[in-house]
Order: sequence, then structure tokens, then C-alpha cells
Amino acid sequence: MSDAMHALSIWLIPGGPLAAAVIVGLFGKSLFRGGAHRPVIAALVVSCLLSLWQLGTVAVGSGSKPTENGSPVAGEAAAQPVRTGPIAYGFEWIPVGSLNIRADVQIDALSAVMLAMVTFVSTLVAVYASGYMHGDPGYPRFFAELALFVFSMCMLVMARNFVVLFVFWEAVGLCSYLLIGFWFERPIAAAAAVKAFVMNRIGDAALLIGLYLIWTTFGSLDFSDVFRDAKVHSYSPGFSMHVLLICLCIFTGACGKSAQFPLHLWLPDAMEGPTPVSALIHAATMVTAGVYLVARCTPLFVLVPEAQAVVATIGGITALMAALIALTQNDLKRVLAYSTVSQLGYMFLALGSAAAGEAFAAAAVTAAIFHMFTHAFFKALLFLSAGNVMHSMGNVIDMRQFGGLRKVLPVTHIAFLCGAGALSGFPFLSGFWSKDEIFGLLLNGTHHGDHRVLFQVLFWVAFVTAILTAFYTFRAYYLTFFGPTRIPAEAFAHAHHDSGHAHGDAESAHGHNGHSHVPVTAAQSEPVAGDPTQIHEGPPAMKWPLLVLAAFALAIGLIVGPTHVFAGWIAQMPTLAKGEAETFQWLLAGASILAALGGIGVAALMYARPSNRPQLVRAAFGPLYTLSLNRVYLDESANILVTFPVKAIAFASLLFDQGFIDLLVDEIGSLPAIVGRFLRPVQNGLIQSYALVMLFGLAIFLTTILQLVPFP
Amino acid sequence: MSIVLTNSNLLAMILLPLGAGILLLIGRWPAAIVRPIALAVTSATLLLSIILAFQFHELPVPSPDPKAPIHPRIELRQDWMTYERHLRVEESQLLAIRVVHLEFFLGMDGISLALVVLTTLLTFSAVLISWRAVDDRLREYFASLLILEAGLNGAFCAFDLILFYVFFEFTLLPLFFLVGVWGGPKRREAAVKFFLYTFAGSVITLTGVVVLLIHLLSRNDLANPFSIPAIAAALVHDPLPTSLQIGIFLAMSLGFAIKVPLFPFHTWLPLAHVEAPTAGSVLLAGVLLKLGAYGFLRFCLPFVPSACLSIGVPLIGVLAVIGILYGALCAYAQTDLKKLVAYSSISHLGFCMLGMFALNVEGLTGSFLQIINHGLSTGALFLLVGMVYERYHTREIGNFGGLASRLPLISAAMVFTCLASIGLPGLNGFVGEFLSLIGMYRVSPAMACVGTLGVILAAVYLLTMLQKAFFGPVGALPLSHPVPDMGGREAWSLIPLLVLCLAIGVYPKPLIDTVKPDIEAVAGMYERLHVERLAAAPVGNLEARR
Repeated sequence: MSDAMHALSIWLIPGGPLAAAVIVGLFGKSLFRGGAHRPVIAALVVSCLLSLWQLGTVAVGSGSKPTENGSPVAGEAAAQPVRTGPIAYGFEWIPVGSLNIRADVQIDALSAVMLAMVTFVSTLVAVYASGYMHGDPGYPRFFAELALFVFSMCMLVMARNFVVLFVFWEAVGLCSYLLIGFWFERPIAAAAAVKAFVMNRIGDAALLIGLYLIWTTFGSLDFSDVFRDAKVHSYSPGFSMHVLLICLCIFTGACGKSAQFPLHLWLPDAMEGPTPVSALIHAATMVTAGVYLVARCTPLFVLVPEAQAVVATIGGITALMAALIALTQNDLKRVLAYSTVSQLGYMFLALGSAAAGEAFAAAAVTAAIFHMFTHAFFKALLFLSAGNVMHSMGNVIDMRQFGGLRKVLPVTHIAFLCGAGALSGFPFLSGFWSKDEIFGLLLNGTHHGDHRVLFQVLFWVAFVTAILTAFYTFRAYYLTFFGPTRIPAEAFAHAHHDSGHAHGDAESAHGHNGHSHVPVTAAQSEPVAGDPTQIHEGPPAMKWPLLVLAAFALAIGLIVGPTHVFAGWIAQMPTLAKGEAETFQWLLAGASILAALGGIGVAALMYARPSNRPQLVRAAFGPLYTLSLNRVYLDESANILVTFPVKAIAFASLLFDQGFIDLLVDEIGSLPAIVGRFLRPVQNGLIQSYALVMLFGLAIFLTTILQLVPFP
Repeated sequence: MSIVLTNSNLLAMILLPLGAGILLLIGRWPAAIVRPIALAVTSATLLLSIILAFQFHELPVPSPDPKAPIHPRIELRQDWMTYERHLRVEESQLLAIRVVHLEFFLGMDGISLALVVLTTLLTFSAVLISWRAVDDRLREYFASLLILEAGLNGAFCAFDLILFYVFFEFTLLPLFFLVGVWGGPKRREAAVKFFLYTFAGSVITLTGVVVLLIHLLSRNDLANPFSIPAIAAALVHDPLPTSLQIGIFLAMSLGFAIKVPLFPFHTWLPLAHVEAPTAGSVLLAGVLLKLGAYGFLRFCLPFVPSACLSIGVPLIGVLAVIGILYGALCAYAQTDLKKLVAYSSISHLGFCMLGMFALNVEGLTGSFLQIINHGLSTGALFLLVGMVYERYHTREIGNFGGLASRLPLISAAMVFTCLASIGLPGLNGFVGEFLSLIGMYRVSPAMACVGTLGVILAAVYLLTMLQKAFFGPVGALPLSHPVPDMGGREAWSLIPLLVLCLAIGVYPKPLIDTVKPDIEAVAGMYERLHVERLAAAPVGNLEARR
């Protein structure tokens, strides 16, 4: 294949979705109407196939040849290329002074894994959404924004320098903003969108400062230059301080995007967006961008183990805190959202575990990306299943409103069970393998390096979190699918509407919002008895993606994990020093199996059958329960500590502006008039007074002259 | 390409709108054809500027003196006023000494070109947006717009110091009338305040200019002490004493700082904006304010470099950083849509000044891009606010709500423009802000980091505004007043700006290349100054400098 063709095939991965986004965005309403999903799905399928092909050639290593020939640098670092994989050249974007930022893309092993994951999950989610969003008045807008997101995400993972990465880092944030606020008429959704964007922006500002630092420290913003020089310069004084600051800035940015404490508050609120969006952007792909960034910057992080310790600590805090909150939430999607936050914490725990020594960096990145990879499948699966539940329950998502759905929604039930098993780390499902690697790394940290005590704590944090994860996941599972069948009244209105009208007729039946899945959050109605046979699963478009994802959730971990296939992909990255291969530890695996089964067992005891056990447990934990139910009051704290002071300062500024600065200007402006008022009486027009003044003046003048002139 | 053609083009861009404006004023034109005349003239001027832009790119970069910080690539010179003193050297032999030699010296470098295109484009939009909004004293209104355009074009193309000052002050008049006659309820107060404040400032600027000229006239190395390129070149070779530079810098900056406006000289701006008609706001924010930044870039930076380095960087830098945060906070507290945009201008121009006083290529380029970007995105914001106001006759954010479902096109454009204004990468604002901040970081990391906080605040106030006014359930007012969405004429006033926002964000290279030689000339001057200072420093400091 010629180089031009190769470059084209690379550009087509993000280019297809972009073209689809533009076409559907501009002409969606007039050209496609209900078929707006077609160009998008077509483009995504093309991207997905091309990405898989790239994964095959780049990550597997058969066709990869080092194409990066950096300028010769002293030392052995120069011998090794920093990044291997095909490059597709774009154009000069910002050529200013010593800053020459080009819009090029490159696919290396890490990018290829991310691309494959992103495009594969997006394709499934887009198929699902073509059923889920059917009849929504904003149908074309939804698909345009979705395609724009996939384009941005692909570009993000293919960027060759920090600035292009930052561009698409913000672009995915924009898509997230637009899609959370998709139903903009709902005040909660509009507020959640702003919250997400602003919290992301806080992280982005830190990342931006990190970019300035990188530029002044390394004189370049290209990954290849920076990572190559990172090794060379590591002996000069003051350098590690700079790198530490850079890493902390990068990590703060990652915290915003990947919802790590304390910038995680936006993610649960982001569930106001349509469920396919929650599945794709806020579970499987966008929120993992932070993990990707930190993994990408491993050559910088390995120079400063302190930064990695910070990464691990924040990851640990987030994992435990989010799991504790997830224990008591009643909104099914919020349970999953907190679970996402918690699992992202695991990924950062894995990345930070390289603080134990540079030799573990490769294993740490492998574990983090592996967990991200498996998590993408099973979490997307869980969200889409939750979407099916919402769809059939008339957009009710409060778990107190429904129950016992395993007979009513058999496909969804099985799918959810697969996802829940994988998430809990049920033996030999996907999540089990990836979580196990992280445990192994943390255990490693307790034996090596300077942060042994820290890792001892973090290991137990991770372990407890694993038990909690299994518990809250199966709590949600049992509450939704077990017990007596309970179906909220909204579901029947919905079902009636479904059977009574053709899908296209939705507008007239449900007024303006049509058949949209605007969630009903408040406990508005008591569950009423109805005929459960009226309730049915969604259209086939909403079933098949679930089954595919379920298969992946069950098996992908086993296929690529213990076989070291996945580690082999990541090992294609030359920036990662060849470290010790992770070996499967049976003892650890046993403990992890016990944790998973323990959590599941407790959940089964408490929720599989209706009993008063939940009440007893709740009473036993008392204040802790309230704390968890109210999300540790973090939202309230953020309001008191940040939002309110900023508002107060803003109003004070405005008062100061009008009450002081402007007043001062007006006073100065009126100064001539005041001076004039004092001088006005002088010009009174009376000849006599003028003559008098003249006389005085003459007298003073003469006296002065007489004094100055020396008399002989 | 014939030089004659480009030169006549340059002249036409000033004379065409000026002549048309005067004709509109003196003739008794029927109302029905006033609007088409104005549109035809602004379209023609816009077209001329675009042609000029294409011609400009084919011109070679003249560099007779590589150290000269200013070299216009198009020059059009005509003697204007000459005052000669005659000295009797010998019997029957008179030596004429030119004491004052003013030229009608129009020229164009990349910076002027970009600003002229911005002016002609925004005037075109201003005429379109005024089509329906104004029907009182039509002739005078459109004449004011056209004369304002002529004045602005003249100011950006003037390369004679006095000629510039004439155009600089000349622009105040039409805008004074635009605000004072066709403005809102408090228009008189706003117009007077705007006029007096900026006029007072420019008088002080004039003082600085006069002091500079007196010093230049006493030197005999200058053939023409009023030509801006000649002054700049002479001052590079033989700079003024630093104390004098500081005095001139302070005097000149005051007038420009009021115009920018830089904190704390900004209070005339919100009032003027709120009272001005939409077209007035667009031109005020889009172009007129740019005269301030342009003044800094054209006069302060090349003429008094030592002063810029010693007090400009800390003083203007700190004021700019305060302006970024303060403007953003005030915008956040605003409930009036137009005032919010006005305060956001103060914040955005803070980025512009911050980048400029980084005094390096990155910062200066960023600052220049910010000048253009702010013109485009704030111009578009004022157009949109005007459209909303024209429909509902209120600007209180609390009165709206859910406009997105009532006015989908206007709302979509609003979201786009707000994102551009927030500095979302891929749209124009980002490139300017990023370069300004990264340039400043090299000079003062602290200022750049604090300035970066403004990026967060921009998202806060603009997105909160969107959330309150455009999203959420439909408010009582939009519910009870069904109004049409964006019309064709309104769309055409807006589309060019939005397209440019996207184009500059995705591919800023053409714009950067246009000004590259000019920016590099100024930045190169500072680089040499830096090197000289380092060379002159005592040896003991060598370690510290590393």
C-alpha cells in the first residue's frame, strides 16, 4: 500500500465521523429526518474496521516499522525511537516563533488500542441509540453531536503534540456539554451541562499551565521531543522540580476529565443526558481520556515517583469514596455513574503504582489500559441495559419504583447480569482479570520503592473497594430484577402509547417532547398493578448491541489478559522500559475471588428477597448511611467553598465598579465645573473690581521687580 | 500587479465611504434608497479590502533596514503641509529648512491590512443589522456609519503621526452621534461620557506625541520627523533617554489604555455599549476599541522600547491580569445581556494586552490574533444580542428562558459565538489566548497563570448566561410573544463572522503569515534589546542569568 493511501486510511478514522457530523448537523433535518443515524453508523463502521486493522498492524507488531527518526541526541536514549507507528501529516497549525505546532496524527500501540475501543463501542452505541432516540425531535442533532464526539476522541488519542491533544481534550468536553444538555428545556440537564463544562475547564486550565511549563522546560510541545529529552535532561538541577510541576498539572487536567476527587462532582450529574451518551461518553470513552493522558506521559511521570504517588493516592481516595456513595444511591444510573468514578480511580491507582520503581512502569500502564479496555465494554453494557430498563419503565430510573423485571425484560436481565458480574470481578469474567493485575501491582508497591506504607494502605483500599463494588452492583441488580414484579404507572402510559400509535406519530401523542427519554427522577407515583405483559423489550436495535457487549464483557478479559496478548500490544511502546511481566498470583486471585463473591453474597442476602434486612443494616450504620446517601455532602461543600464565594466576589466587583471606579471618574469629570464655580465670581463684569485687582497685581509685580533688580 | 492599482485601492477605501457619507448628508435622498446606497457602498468597500488583501499577499516584503520595526508594504505619500524656515546663508542664497513637513502618508502592513478588513466587514454587518432597527433620520444614521468606516480605515492606514492623530480623533465624532442620537434612553449621558473620557485620554496621548516630536525635531538625522516608519527606525539606532521614554510612554498609554479599555479606565464602556444602537456597539467593540491596542502596538512598542520593558511589562501586565479577572467577575454578576458582553470585552482585551506586553513573537502574535478574534466574536455577540433585543425589547436575562426552543437559529448561533468567545479550541479565541498566555509565561509565569484563571471564568459567565436565557423551560415573555427566528438579512450580517471564527480557529496560518514580518520586526527589536542588556550587565550576573 502506498504511503498516500496509508495516510488516507489513517485520516479516514476521524475524518469519516467528522464528515457524518457535518452532513447530519447541517442537513439532518431536511435530508434524513428519521434516518439521520445512517450516515453516522456507516462512518463509524468504517472507522471501526480501519481502527481494528491499525490495531492489527501497529500493536501486534507485524507491520510496524519505526518511522520516527529524531535528531541525534547524546546518550542511549537516542538509539530508540520514542514512538513507533504510522504518521499521517496534516498541516502547519500555529507556526509562530519557536512554536511550530502541526496538526499531524500518529497511531502507536496505545493509540491503536484506544481507537479500537472507542470506535467499536461507539458503533454499538450508535446502533443502540437509533432505537433508543427514535422519535425525539432532536434526533439528527443527537447523531451529529455523537459523530462529532467520536471524531474528537479519535483525534485526541492520535495527537502527536500536547496542543493538538489539548484541542480535542476540550472538544470532547464540548461534545459532553452539548450531549448532557441535549434536552436543554430541562433545567437540571442545562445546569448539569454547565457544571460538567466548568469543572472540566478547571482541570483544563491546569493542563494549560502544564503546557506552558513543558514548553519552557523542553522548548517543544511535541510528544517525541519532550519524551526523548526527558531522559537526557534528567540530571540537570531544578529539572525534576519542573517535571514534578508538569506532572501535577497534567494530572489535575486528568482529574477534571476523568472525574477524580475533587473534580468528580460533574459526572453523576452528567447522567441527565440521554442514556446512550452516558454509556459512551461518561463511562466508556471520554472519561478515560485522563487515564490515557497520564499513560501517554509515563516518560515524564517515571522521573518523579512523588507525582505517581499523588496519582495513586487520589485514585485510591476516589475509588473508595465513590464506591461508598454508590452503596446507597437509588437512581440506577447514578449507581453506575459512581461506579464509573470508582473504576476510574482504580485505573489511576494502577498508573500510580509505578511509583514503586521505573521497572514497573510498563506493567502499570498495561494494567491501567487493560482495566480501561475491559471497563469500556462492561460499563457500556450496564448503562445500555439501564437504558433498556428506562425505556420500558416509561423513563423511570428510580430503583424504588420498579423491581422483579427479570421475567419482563429477559434479554436486558441477562445482559445486565453479565455486566454486573464483570464489574464485580466475578471469577474469570473480564473485570476479574484486569482488577487482578491492579492488585498485583499494588502488592508489588508494598515491597519496592519509597512508598511502601502508602501502597500498603492503598492495597487495602483497593481490596475493600472491590468488596463494595460487588455489593453495590448486585444490590442494583437484585433491586431491579428480583423480588416481586413492580412496574411504575409511567411505564403503562408509555406502553399504551407504543402500541396505540405508530412510532412516527409520537409527536402528537406526547406533545412537544415526543417519545424522548426524559428521565422521571422524582418519586411521582406509587407503583400500580398493571399487566406486565404489556411491558416489553425495546426494538432489535436495542438488543443486539447489548448481546455483543455482553459477550465481550464475559470473554475479552480471558482472551487478551492471561494470554499476555494485551500486554504484548502495549509492549510495542518503546517509551516503556521493558519491565517485569506480571505473573498471575493464585493467592491474590483467590483473595480477589473471595472479595467479589463476598460482596455478591451480602447483596443477595439483603436484596434478593424482600426483607427487613436493608432497614436493619441502615439503622446499624446510621450516620454513615446518611453520609453516603447525601454523597458525603461534597456538592454542598463545593457550593459553600467555591461557588458561593465566587458569586459573592463577582457581585462585590460589580458594586465596586459602579460604586467606586465609575463614581471616581464622574467626580474627576465634574472637577472643571467645580473649579469653575469657585472662579466664576472673579469674572463678575464690574469694571471697578477689575481695576482693583489690576491695581493689586501691578503693586505685587512692581514690588517683585524692585526686589529683583539690584540697585546700584 | 501595478502599484498604482493598490495605491488607488488604498485611497478608495477611505474616500469611497467618506464621499458617500457626505453625499448622504447633503443630498435629499428619499428614505427608500438610503439603505441600498449604504449597503452598496459598504459592500464595495468590503470588496476593495478583500481585493487589497489578495494583492497584498503578492507584494514582496520591503526591508531596506532590517532593524526597522515598522515597514509598510504599500506606501502612498503626498505632501500635505510644509512649513519652511529660510536661512540667509549667503547674499541672494536662501537655504530652506523644513521645520514641519506633514505628509498625507497612507500605507499598509499586515497589521493594518487585517484591521482594515475587519473594519469593512463589520461595517457591512452593521449596515445589514440596522436595516429595520433604525428608521429615524436615516440619512444621517447611515452617513455616520460610513464616515466612521472612513475614519477607522484612515486611522489604520495612516503612517504619518499627525495624520494618524487626526483620524484617531475623527472617529469619535460619528460614534458620538451614533450613540447620542440613535441610542437608548440614557444616550446623551453615555455619549458625553464616552466622548469626554476618550477625548481627555487622547489629549494626554497628544502631549506625549508632542514631547516626542519636539525631541525628534531637535535632531537632524531625520528627513521626515513625522513619518512613523522613519521615527521608529531612527529611535532604534539612537534611542531616547530612558527617563524621557518613560514619560512619553505614560502619556501615550493613558489615551490608548482608555480606548482599549484597560482596567481601571473602562467604566465608560458598559454605559456606551448599553446605550448604543446595535450597529454602534458592533463597531465600538469590534473596531473602535482596537485603536487602543493598535496604538500600543504601533507607537508605544517601537518608539519607547526601554520604557515598555521597564515599566510597561509590570504595569500594563498587572492591569491586564486584573482586567481579565475583574471583567469576567463583573460579567458574571450582570443581569443585562449587553452589559455582560461589554464586561466580557474588558476581560478579553485583558488577554490581548497581556500578550502584547510579553514583547515576544508568541505573545505579540497572540495579542494581534486576539484583536481580530475579539472583533469577530464580540461583534457577533452584539449582533445576536441586538437581534434578541429587537424581538423582545428587553435585555434582562431573567426575562428570558428557553429561547433555544423558540429561536433555534439565533440560539445555535449564540451557542457557537459564546464557545468562540470562551476560547474553545478549534474556534478563533483559543489560538489568540493560548499564544498570548504562553508568550507571557516566558516573561512572567505568575501573570500567565493568574490570567489562565480567566479561561475558567469565561466559561462560567457565558455558559451561565446561555443556561439562564436560552435553555431551560420557556419563560413567560417568550411564551407570550411569538417572534420570528433569524431572518435572511440578519443571517447575512452574521454568517461571515461565524465562518471566519471557525476558519481562524482551524487554520490560522494565513492570518499569522500576513502579520509575521511586522510582528517579527517588533519582536526582533526587543530580542536585540534584551541581548544588549545582557551584554552590558556586569559579569557577576552571568550565573544568575542562567
